[in-house]
Amino acid sequence: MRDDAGLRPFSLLSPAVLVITIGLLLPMTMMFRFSLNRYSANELMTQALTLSNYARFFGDAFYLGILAKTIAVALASTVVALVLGVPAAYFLARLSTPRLKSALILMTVVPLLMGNSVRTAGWMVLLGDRGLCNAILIFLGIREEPLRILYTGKAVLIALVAAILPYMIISLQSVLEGIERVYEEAALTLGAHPATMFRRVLLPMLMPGIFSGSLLCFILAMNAYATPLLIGGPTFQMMAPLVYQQLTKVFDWPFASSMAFVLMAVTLASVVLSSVFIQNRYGRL
Amino acid sequence: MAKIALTNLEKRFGSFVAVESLSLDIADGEFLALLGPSGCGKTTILRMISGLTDATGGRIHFGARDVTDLPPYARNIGLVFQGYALFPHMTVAQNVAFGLEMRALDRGEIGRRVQSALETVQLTGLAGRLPRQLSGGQQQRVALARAIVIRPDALLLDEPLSALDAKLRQELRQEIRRLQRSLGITTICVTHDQEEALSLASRLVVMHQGRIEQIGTPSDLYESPASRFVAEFIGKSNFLDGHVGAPDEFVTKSGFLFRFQRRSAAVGSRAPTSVGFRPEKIEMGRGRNAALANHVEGKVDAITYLGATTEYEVRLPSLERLTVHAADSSADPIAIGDNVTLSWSSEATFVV
Repeated sequence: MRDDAGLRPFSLLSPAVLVITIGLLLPMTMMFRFSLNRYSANELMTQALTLSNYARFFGDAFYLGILAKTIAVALASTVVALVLGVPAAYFLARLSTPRLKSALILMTVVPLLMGNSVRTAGWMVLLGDRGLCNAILIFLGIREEPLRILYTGKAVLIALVAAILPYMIISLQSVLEGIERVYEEAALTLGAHPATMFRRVLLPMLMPGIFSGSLLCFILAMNAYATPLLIGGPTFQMMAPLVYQQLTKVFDWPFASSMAFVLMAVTLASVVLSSVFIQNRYGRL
Repeated sequence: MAKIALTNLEKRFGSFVAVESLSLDIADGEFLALLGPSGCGKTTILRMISGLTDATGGRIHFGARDVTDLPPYARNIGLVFQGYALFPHMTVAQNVAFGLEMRALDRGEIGRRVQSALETVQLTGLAGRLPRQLSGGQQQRVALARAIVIRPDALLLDEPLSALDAKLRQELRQEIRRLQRSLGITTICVTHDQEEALSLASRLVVMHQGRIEQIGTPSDLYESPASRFVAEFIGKSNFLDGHVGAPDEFVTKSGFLFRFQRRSAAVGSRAPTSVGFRPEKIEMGRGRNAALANHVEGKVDAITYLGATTEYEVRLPSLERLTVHAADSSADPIAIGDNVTLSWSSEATFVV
């Protein structure tokens, strides 16, 4: 008798494997190959095996500055989303009215239903020099001149946090749902003040959610395109728009490809490093 | 350790009354069991004593201290939860130390008290384990150690043994009893398991629909139940409906006359409507035992072997059915269809 039980999971996976191979691995391999080519103004690029594109990126303080800024913004927006997300997720998870809970969860994810650029355009209307915020400030006489919010790092941060917050809340809430209230009650009866209970009991038990939520948000923020492009404008640049700009405006495909790989490698490295750190600190997740 | 006094304690959820004006004094060092079916309000009482649920009326005192409006973390109680609720990310020792750390004791003192608490529940070797690496019985012991190590004013047990198998349950029951006696902690145990309540507590409170049905020692409740509910909830009983004829005589609807001696104070002014007697108090034979006051004849309908005893279903000429628990006599075994006489004493007969 032939034992083909071991084969079945693989055959179920194969359509997905096929899609990923054609749609992701193949273009990525090609792109990596491009990143080793040489830029040519006349022929787009010439075949080569050179690391000069990577050298150019790491040798130029301008590009390194943008990478550093990207990491800083991604980290900051993740931390802000975490701080805002924990109370919201806790409130959601502990709601006892099922109907209100579903309604609020739906409201949390509604922003994800509209396109990223539409949402970002909304922030532009709100934060622009003649936007709603400034109109109110001037109307109330708090400021004479419009406050410059749009095209600053602060504006990018605000809009990015808004974009990634739903992912954070949902990640945290799903883990919190699995933490029974009885653990909180046990800590309280043993004499723990609610704040101490949160720090000593809830937070460590919530760690898997904090980790997965932060990971998701950090990756999304690192690779954010529409938000930094529209809100950051020409003055506040981040990596993803920079890659796109090199690709479509400068037509330097080899350099754009190498920058895309730098962005990917840095994101991957921070994810791996943080998971190693967290596992050492809090045990297996 | 303190006397606990509940005065007119009440809990309403909207229009639903979970606990209705309940007053109860628990003596210092007493082991009291709150017994009743699910939804009778017993867990709500425990949660109000611990502060996890706010009372909508009445007061709670630990000794002279009014704790009614105190949050749970200011009450000094040890609560053992039904599922133990051990912190999964902390070791056994860390779990036990938690309450002591909240009281800001110094490290040396915490270490000593954790050590001695673990000795008390015989878990010294497992201090470094995580809860998920322990068996159910061991987890239960950790939960107990965590609750007593803080020297609480009250030890509260919420269905403490319900998650364990029968053999382990018996073992831990004795351990809890021993522990409670040696520490002298005022203890309240909530359970729906009558066997657990009878074997653990020195005094029982039977609850029904948010009210106290009867308070008494285990034998009070068993021998003189205050109501049909108590008699049916604790042990098995035979009941026949009717009315009291002479002061110590009950007349059933089917016309039997039974002498009774037990009439619970709680029945009070209401006229009793049933006579009851326990299956194991009945003597069954071919002839009547003249030394006993009450007799009835019937035919054996069904026999169920229960190990230590055998259960007989006996049908009376009036078609009423009685349950008898008796040791199986191998010399003259009784079979289905046999005519038998049932005899029992007036002391074993109660009216409710």
